[in-house]
Amino acid sequence: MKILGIESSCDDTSVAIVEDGVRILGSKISSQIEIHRRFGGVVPEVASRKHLEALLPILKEVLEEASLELSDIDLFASTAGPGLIGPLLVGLSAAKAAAWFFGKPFLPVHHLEAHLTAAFLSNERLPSYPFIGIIISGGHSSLVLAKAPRNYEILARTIDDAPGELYDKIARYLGLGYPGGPVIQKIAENGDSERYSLPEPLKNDYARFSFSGLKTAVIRLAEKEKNNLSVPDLCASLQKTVAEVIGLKLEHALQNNSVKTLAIAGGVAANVAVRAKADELSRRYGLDLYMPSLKLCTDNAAMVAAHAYLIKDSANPETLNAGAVSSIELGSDWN
Amino acid sequence: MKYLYLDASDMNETVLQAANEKQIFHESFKTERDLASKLPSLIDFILEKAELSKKDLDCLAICAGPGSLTGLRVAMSFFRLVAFAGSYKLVSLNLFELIRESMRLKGEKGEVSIILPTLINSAFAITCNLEEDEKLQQPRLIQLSEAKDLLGKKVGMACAADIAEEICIAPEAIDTIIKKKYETAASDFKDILKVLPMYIIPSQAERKLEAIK
Repeated sequence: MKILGIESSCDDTSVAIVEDGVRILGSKISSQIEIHRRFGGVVPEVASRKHLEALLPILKEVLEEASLELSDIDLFASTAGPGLIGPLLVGLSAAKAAAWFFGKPFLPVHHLEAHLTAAFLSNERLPSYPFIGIIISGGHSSLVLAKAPRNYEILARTIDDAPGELYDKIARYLGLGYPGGPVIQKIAENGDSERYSLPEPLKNDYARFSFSGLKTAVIRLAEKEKNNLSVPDLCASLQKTVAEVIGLKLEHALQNNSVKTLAIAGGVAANVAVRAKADELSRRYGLDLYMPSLKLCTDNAAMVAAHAYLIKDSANPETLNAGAVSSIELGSDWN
Repeated sequence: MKYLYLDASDMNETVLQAANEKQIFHESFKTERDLASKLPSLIDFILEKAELSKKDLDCLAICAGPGSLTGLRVAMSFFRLVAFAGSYKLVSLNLFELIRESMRLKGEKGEVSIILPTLINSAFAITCNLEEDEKLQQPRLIQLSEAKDLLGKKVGMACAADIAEEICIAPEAIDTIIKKKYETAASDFKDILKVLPMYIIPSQAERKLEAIK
């Protein structure tokens, strides 16, 4: 079954075709990072415009890459939320248009559920349920017990900033550039992660993440150290602390749920310290670890198409009436 | 000519018009910021009413604004994809030319200023002569307080009621312009990409950045 997925929930326009949920036949991402860099963050109105301009050209490229016609597609899917409404509507409308025109099914896909599926897609595998999954990105940090493709138990989530947001804010404060995660990781390569002792917020609270206090602690440290501040050491210490905090919650979840699989996903899953921590935990607990390739960590449409395959049986004429939503729980109905 | 026209420039109301070779079918729908959910079923409704199937259509036509940018983008995203998928010609219309044509059809003459509000206290405006078939000039962004100084009769859509006489766009005006533009409409992939919402209003972030510069 060939599924065409569209992702436009934030600042990446992406189209992909995935066969049977595991084989990527074509995939393109048009990034808007350069456009939003001058604003220091994503401007929804600008992102919406760029999605409209970028979508059709990359759709055509993906069809060419897969050597397929649009009429060869069996099912169309797009991210319907959570995300920025203006950008979401562009992708959703295009996918619905294709489904409507060819009389094929359309499926709305949950952005975070798709990210979890990306961890398995990198290994050309369908997810094996149940598993412990964590989605860590610029907008999200959710730790879940995944029981089925649309059945999740939320074990922990952030009460303020997401880790990617923390990296963006710190990078902006230190004048390092945008997006923060990759810049901080690069600088941290030459740093000493033991140099600065940073707080581990809500260390013993296993149902909540908090990264806002960590941001304040870093800013205070930078103000105190002034010219003596070693930016590489600070970046390395910050990365280590974030990975430790994530590791603590993950370990608690693994101790309290009987699973054989661990999946990490989202943009921050590309971070070396986080990947190393997940690797260490999976070895210690004898788990199968699934992590997306670096390409599939950030927002992409392949994960949307792959996840649509898992929920394909829920497609019906009513799903063509789905709208976009800025905020929606994992596993919730779209209506 | 058989066509399907969509105008989503109004935040709350969507206009669809379909024509077969005998008759025009024009409908307004209360979409209340939920166009993306309702659009496929609304299109099915108007096509069924006009006894048309997708395959019968000679072209698609779309209103490019100015108006609700979200509505325009939903409509554009949908129609651009369908134009690509079905190799349809895509005709782009704007509200200025539709208002001018509607006034002509009513038999009005002389100079008019068409005012379409946009940002708070500002509007896009065009002044033209209804008896001359000239290409419309580029709209100017004006302050609403400047509207009284514009030449001729001031007209606009319902949202400009305080400063201008409201003109309802006539289905026949839409029909006339679609037929006039059909020959030169977007027909290949590169042309379809050029069909975009008109008169992009800078976002607050862009205006701030511009002010800093």
